[in-house]
Amino acid sequence: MTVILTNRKDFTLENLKRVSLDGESVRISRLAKRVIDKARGTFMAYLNIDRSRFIYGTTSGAGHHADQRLSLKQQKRMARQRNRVPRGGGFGPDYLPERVVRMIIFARLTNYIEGHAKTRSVEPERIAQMLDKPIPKVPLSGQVGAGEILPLAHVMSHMPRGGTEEAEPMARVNGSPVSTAVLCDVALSTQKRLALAYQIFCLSIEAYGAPLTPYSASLLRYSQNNYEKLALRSMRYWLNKAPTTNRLPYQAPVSWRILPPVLAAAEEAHSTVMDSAEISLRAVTDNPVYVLPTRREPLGRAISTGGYHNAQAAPAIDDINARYADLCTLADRHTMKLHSAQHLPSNLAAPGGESYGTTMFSFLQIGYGEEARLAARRSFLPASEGGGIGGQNDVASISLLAYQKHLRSAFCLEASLALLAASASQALWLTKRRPAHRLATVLEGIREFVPPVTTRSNRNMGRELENLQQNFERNINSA
Amino acid sequence: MTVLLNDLHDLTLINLERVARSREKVRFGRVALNRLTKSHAEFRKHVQDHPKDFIYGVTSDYGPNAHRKLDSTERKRLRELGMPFLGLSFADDFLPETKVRAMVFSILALFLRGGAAVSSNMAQTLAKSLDGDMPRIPAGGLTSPGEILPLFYLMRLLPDTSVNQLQASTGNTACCSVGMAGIAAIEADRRLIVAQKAFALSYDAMRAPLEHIDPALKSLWGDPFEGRAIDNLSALLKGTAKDNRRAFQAPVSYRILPRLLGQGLRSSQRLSDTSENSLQSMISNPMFFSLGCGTKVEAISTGGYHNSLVPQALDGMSMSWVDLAEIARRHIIKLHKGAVSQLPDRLVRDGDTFRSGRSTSYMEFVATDFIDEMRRWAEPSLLSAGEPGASEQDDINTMGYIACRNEARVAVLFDRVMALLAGVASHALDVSGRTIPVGLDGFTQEIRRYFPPVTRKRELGKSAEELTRSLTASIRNGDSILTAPVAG
Repeated sequence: MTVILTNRKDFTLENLKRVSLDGESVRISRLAKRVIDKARGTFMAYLNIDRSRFIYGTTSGAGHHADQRLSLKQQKRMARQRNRVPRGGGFGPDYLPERVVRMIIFARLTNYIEGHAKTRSVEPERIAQMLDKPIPKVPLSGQVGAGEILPLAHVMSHMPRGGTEEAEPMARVNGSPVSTAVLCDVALSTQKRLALAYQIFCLSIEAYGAPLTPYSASLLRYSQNNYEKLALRSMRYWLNKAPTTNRLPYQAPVSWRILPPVLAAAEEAHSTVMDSAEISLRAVTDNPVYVLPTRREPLGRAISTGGYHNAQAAPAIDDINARYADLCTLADRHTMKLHSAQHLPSNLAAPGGESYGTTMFSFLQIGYGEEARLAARRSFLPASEGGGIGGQNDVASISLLAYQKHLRSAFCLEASLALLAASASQALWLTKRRPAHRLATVLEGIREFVPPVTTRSNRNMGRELENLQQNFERNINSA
Repeated sequence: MTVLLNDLHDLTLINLERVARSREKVRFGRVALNRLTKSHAEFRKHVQDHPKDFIYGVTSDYGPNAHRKLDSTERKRLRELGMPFLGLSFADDFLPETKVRAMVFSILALFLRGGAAVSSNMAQTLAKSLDGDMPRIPAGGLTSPGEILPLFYLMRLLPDTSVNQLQASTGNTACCSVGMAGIAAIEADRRLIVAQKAFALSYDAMRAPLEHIDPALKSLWGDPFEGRAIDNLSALLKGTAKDNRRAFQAPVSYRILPRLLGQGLRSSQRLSDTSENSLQSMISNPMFFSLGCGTKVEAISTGGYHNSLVPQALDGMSMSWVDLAEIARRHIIKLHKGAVSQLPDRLVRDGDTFRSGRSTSYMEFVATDFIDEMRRWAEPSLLSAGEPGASEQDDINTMGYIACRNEARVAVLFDRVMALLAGVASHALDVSGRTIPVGLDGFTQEIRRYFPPVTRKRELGKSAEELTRSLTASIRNGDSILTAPVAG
């Protein structure tokens, strides 16, 4: 299948998913090509009327040479010579997932599709072709600079060869498609990761035999907050028809009772990142950007902007990272309480097995929680003006740093949930109880990777838990 | 004036400020009193009819003894013992009275909907307590599971517990964080007005091209908050000279201003929405749902004392203050750097040198200290990993107070950076003999009252400090031209 792009309305999360997760191709529609070429025509007329007018990177030098005006000859020469984006300079041990690089390529096309990139239609066609070839590798480290030129260099240096004309080289590397891509990836994966968290925490409620009142429908009716309602609804879905007998006769510890408000905050963070992803996907963020002709301005105009700096991305991703860390804290507490509750077998040890049972699971939680908290540190605008030579590029974009932390944070949450899942499964098995019916298949899925533990001899628990985490990860990041 | 509470619509940030800041009286209206009386009576009957049901703190003991059941005799005995804690917190001075009043208002919000099932007498007593002085609450050591530590002080405002009638809860709710966040939200809105004006002044001093805030960008970027920032900056710069501006694009720190301010406006809106919404959704432990209130009549244990949305919104606001301060620092530096700003280098007047002390030179150093501190306070208020209580029950802290305290500190530091930016930008405009745009005229005059353009050697730190004090006071009181809304 192929995603056909006609205008900015086609830049949806659904189409992005098709391109990035399903590996579909992209084609620029005939209508879009006409619009793009028409815009190119009026832009060139606008340019030719006054070649001394400031149009960044076209009539002027780029970066800290922005104050230098170029002669007509220089303008044409620069456009011709910059027909290849130089390879990126960042390096490091880890790389962006391929799906995210596909998202970058897809998001790169937004500036072009309605002619705001002021290029010929051959340019977006070349970009779209990149999706049908081996996807470039983009190192995660060393990508924090003004705009998104650093990561884009790794991607756009792989554009199919072909000549460039005025304004086209700058359009390739300006704007903020990288921020858009990471926002979209966080938005899509968090949706699934949160769904997983609901299942595992509800299983933990069942395993502990926690009273169901903190998840009462009365609260759903009472609350004025949509995120609290969303969290309660999801929990009630998984706890539907949960046994009401054999539960703790008094309230469970705080860490069980506060699941709805903590998950509500995660829902709110997710909603914010979704909104930002959708807005960013359709945003034209080029610098300079071509404002299309109107009756008052029949040739349109090109203006310098700060579009290349997406200010929503890092705060939105940081919030998700923070909520992941909070969920790790709750998972840690639950795991410990399952192993130490007076009403459950001590250490969740099986009769005939070792007395320490599965307490190791509770030890293991600490490290993942600490890592998650480290990854939840804020991605402030960097204090360094590195690259701001001549005063121009004096503030760096921080989206990729936030995303780099997100990948760690996501792993920690999955690991933490795997440990809680195995503990809950063990508690239910030892006490011969079944969870609410919708959780039965969830439990089966967990036991496929980590069967109940009688004795740890001849078991490689680390490997089993890792397999469970990796299964979570596969499900989250697949189509 | 007196704020009358009858229903949800009365639980607004405007009313919160009237009571907390302006010290207006508050009373429950007839509709509310009827609801309270009904809920209280229903609750008493419910307990009588279901003596074996677990109702935390009513048919059970508290905290670590939650598993212990109580009968009516034991309940009476414990009630007569009264509140065991007179106050456990200490250090860091005391909370401002405005914030304590805001906490009381949020407990009234809980009472209003009947979920606490308190008697109308108890509710009215608490409302009337706001006619007088509030208990002093130490600002240190207030974080715990739920918000009981500040509550220990607020309980002094309630009738003697020995004569208390049966109720579900006397305020075991997120009163502290919701009340304080409401005040923070109101102040954040005004603080952003100041910030937009200070940045607009800097923008004009730099003679940054107006195309960076071109209205066409609103539909291209498609973000309503960035759109508002563009509108506000455009309104503030209305009438500025369109020619004789920089012939090429301004530094990134100027070009990205509408996007950063847009994010600030988003954070502020989120904080306002979350605070007001939380005020209208106060839940306690336990919570009583009377007939027609929930899905059935029930008294249930909840985690309602734990509000996770408020810290998230406050943390987001703190992050915006830091990022905007970082941009301001860049502006202050650039304004002094003649080769970049195209203004007199180091903002000295013709023929003068910075050695004469007649410029704002070296003021650019000062912001670093404040911003470094801001970064430390603005880290997110995550659930703490440690178990706070010596029992199985109370195993997670509520982070609301910490988020409120941190945001408040970051905000005050932000005011200092804004004072520096406004003072320097105003001086830059004076040095270059430029007229102030009409939208910024009143603001600039007020800035210059405290931080006049530098024409002779003086202690500039004092000027900046006085200006900061004025900014912070204006933000708190909302009664100055500094915080007057931007005219669209």
